[in-house]
Amino acid sequence: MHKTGDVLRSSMRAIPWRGAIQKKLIYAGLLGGLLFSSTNCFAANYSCGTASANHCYGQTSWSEQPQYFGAYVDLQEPSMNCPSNCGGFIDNEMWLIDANSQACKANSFGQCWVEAGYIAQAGEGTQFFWADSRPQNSSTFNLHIVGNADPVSTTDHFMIVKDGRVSPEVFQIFIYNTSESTLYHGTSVASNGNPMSANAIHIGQELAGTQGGSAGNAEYTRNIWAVQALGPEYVFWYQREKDEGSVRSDNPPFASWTINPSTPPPPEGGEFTTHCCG
Amino acid sequence: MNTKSVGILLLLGGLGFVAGCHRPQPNEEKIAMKPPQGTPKRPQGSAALTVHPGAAQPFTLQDVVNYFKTHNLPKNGGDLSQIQVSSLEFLTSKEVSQRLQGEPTGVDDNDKIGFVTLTGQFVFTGPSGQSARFNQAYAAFDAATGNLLMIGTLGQKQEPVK
Repeated sequence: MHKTGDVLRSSMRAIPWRGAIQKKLIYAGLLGGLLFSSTNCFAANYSCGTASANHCYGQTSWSEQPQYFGAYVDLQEPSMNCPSNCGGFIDNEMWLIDANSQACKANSFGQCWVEAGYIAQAGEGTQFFWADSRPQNSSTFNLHIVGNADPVSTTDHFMIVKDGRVSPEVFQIFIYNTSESTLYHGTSVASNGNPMSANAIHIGQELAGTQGGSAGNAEYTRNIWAVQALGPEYVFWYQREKDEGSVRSDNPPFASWTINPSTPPPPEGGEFTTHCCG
Repeated sequence: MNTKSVGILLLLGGLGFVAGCHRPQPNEEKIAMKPPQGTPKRPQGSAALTVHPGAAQPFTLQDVVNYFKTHNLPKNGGDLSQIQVSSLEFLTSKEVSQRLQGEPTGVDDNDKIGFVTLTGQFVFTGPSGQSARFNQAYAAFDAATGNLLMIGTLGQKQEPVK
């Protein structure tokens, strides 16, 4: 009785061009293996942040307006992971920045900002956060971890807006989903009563650490900015972004426009995409 | 039509074209969007310390020391091994906010917070990679749950980060 292997071997011997087929199969297998391993098997290594090395970014930034009173983005949550040995974190977020005001240029970072997004820290799940760098030289930087992020593929809304209903003005931060079953709120207050006057908006991904981080495609849509401070009517008055801004893609993270913001809506302000890290 | 007239017409046409190109566009109308109207959730924070029910304090200084043996501050680029726990105080949220020069904690004024001061090397980075190094920081733990609510810098920055 023949074993199956013997039958196969005798069949192959009967085919005169079997050698060529075998070679092609081997090459195809090697190529397939390389492609598969490059996207799935090897943990990504990168140099994105020790105390002496800067973080990496996949982001775009706008700075053409004299003042941005606020910023807003719809951000779909991808799967995101930073294992316990990743040495840092990975996040998707939005920043509202003041690098012009005297009090901001004089703070510890040389600029003020308010940021909001979700973050995967080393060995932990993904969490919503907001933070500020205030126009003052003590207690300058504060980071708030507000709670676990929504399930993957949920579209969350991030809004930062100057509040003109109080004096001195403050910044209101909202993190929420459409049904508002997720709704977190924060307030950024300057102790000297001298609020920042934002001259830039960034959206995108920040990566810190050396290895193993990953993030699926994140889609940033409804990229809009507030044209005035929040007033008694409680309305976020806005215009959409209409140009690509200045794109930075440190590869990783990888960032690009998938729908140009100059395209008439929907979506308002185009669609920007980031992913990381292999 | 002589050459001079043609030249003048071309010049005027060119000026008109340039002026047209730089004419300010009519202001785009602003659009209204309502911010969320619901009641915000109380911040949950990040799971951190175990609360000891019935004990004099929800958690102890040693609990905090043990926590920082294995957990760095979120977003801190400084070395975990250099973090030293200086103090633990149980304060109201309002008192913590006053310590932090007005920074709200997000919880009710009378809620208790375990306010921890730290020394070491703390490096935080801004939106375009600008870093600042500090040697004092704080961590605020929810006294009810032991969760880490917020962290931040104390004092002024140290030497610039290259």
